[in-house]
Amino acid sequence: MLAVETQKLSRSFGELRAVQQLDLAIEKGEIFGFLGSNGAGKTTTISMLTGQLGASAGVARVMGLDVSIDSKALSHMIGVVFEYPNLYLRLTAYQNLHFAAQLYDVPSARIDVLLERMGLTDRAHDRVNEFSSGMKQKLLIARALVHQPSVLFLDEPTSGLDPSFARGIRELVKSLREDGTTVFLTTHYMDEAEQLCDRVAFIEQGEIVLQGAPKDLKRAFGMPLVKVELKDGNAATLSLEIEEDRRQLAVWSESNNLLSIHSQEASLEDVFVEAVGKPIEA
Amino acid sequence: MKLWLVIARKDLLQAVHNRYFIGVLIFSLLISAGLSIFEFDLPTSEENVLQQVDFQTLMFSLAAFSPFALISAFVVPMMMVEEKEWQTIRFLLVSPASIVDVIAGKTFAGIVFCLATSGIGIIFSGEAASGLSVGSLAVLALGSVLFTGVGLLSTSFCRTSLQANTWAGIPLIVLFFGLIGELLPRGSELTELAKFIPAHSASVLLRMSLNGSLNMEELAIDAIYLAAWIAAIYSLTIWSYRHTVHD
Repeated sequence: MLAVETQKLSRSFGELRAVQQLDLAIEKGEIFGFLGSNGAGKTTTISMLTGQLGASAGVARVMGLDVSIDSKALSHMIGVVFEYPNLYLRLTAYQNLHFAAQLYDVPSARIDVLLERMGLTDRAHDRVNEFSSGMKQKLLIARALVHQPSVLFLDEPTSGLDPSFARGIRELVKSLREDGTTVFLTTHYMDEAEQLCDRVAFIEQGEIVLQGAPKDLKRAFGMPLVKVELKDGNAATLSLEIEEDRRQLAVWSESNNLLSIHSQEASLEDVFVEAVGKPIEA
Repeated sequence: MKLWLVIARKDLLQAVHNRYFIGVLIFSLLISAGLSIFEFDLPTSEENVLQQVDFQTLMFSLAAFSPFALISAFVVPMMMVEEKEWQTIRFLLVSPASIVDVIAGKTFAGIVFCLATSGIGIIFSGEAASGLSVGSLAVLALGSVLFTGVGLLSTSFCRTSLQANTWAGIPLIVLFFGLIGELLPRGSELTELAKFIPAHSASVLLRMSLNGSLNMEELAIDAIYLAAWIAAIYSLTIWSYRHTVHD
């Protein structure tokens, strides 16, 4: 059974086709990146997969459940971290998690485990309106994990965070894979997707234009180039696919003239530009 | 615990930390207490409409229901609008709670606010409060359900606190008009119009229960009328939120 599966999933708002004919197949335990510019259809897709929004056409299943039929069972399978920090700001971190735990009928002991994991134990009884953006984001993730969901939807989890908090969130996402949680991640940060995701899909104007493992995509779209700096002050860019360049590299290596070699393979951003025809717009 | 009770409990907890809510609740309490203890020296004349009604029970009814109207206009809508404004409603709707649980939770919290404020207020009314019976309490409970429903429905289309506060005055005026209908000249068009407002039925029922003059026929007519309004208001509220929360 797949963790997330869609067949010809579509959603229109009047004349606007927000998502068109989306086919996805995400394995259990996979971190799947859903990449695209703002307005490409990422959030609409998450809204459909989490049962917040009905589809205009097509089918979506999460852990084998048709999302349009059994929303109550679906709610126990999924956790959602929204792009906007939608917490109860007048309540404390503990009270926010306690409310979520009661909604999911989870014992209160789980709250302490999550606060500890997120590094929020010391701030548990502070009101959320005193929290920084990074702390709110951690609390959002803790709330989404309160009932130990099989699939976690993360909508732009590091957007607007300072680098240290963003790194912390990324480490957290990686640790979820070890727990066996499937992660559906939307982001417009390509380096983040490259670091975290087993597979990615690029969405543009509601359609998937390309999907696959980041390594495979970079290999398919990039040239295996290396930039070489020599001890005599010269530099050169060589292709590993050209016999003559490979021979030249070997000569420099044998003559101990190499100072540095830098891989010049395509980044995921280059692949996106190649596939979509324009850079990603944040 | 039932999901709607979990939501109500959260709303009551949030209210403790909300200065705006506390301000409205204190203001409602003062209005209620003020109406309870104020003594009117009525001029006596045959034309004076105030002589034609039991003025003491009318004031008691106003003291009891005024906090309901204020809470339904300024507290209940904010409980829902804040969920939309902070987008916490999206979290609730991906949780096991349904929109009916959310509305039921808000209604329960609204009823608690209404009855607590009104209850404290009418303690000041002395003799009138001593006439409270099980029937009167039932009417107050029914009234609080009605007023809370009006508050939820009237601002169901609002997305921000500002919009809710702008629109809140309209149900407040309508509900007060229903409550003070008896003070208008008998037989006038306005008096007849006021009778159609369900707040009027609640007020009449409360006064009849206080006077001990509640007969089954009148009770049935006003109670059915009130219950029908409550059913209609909550049906519309659920329909309205189902169509607006995902916007």
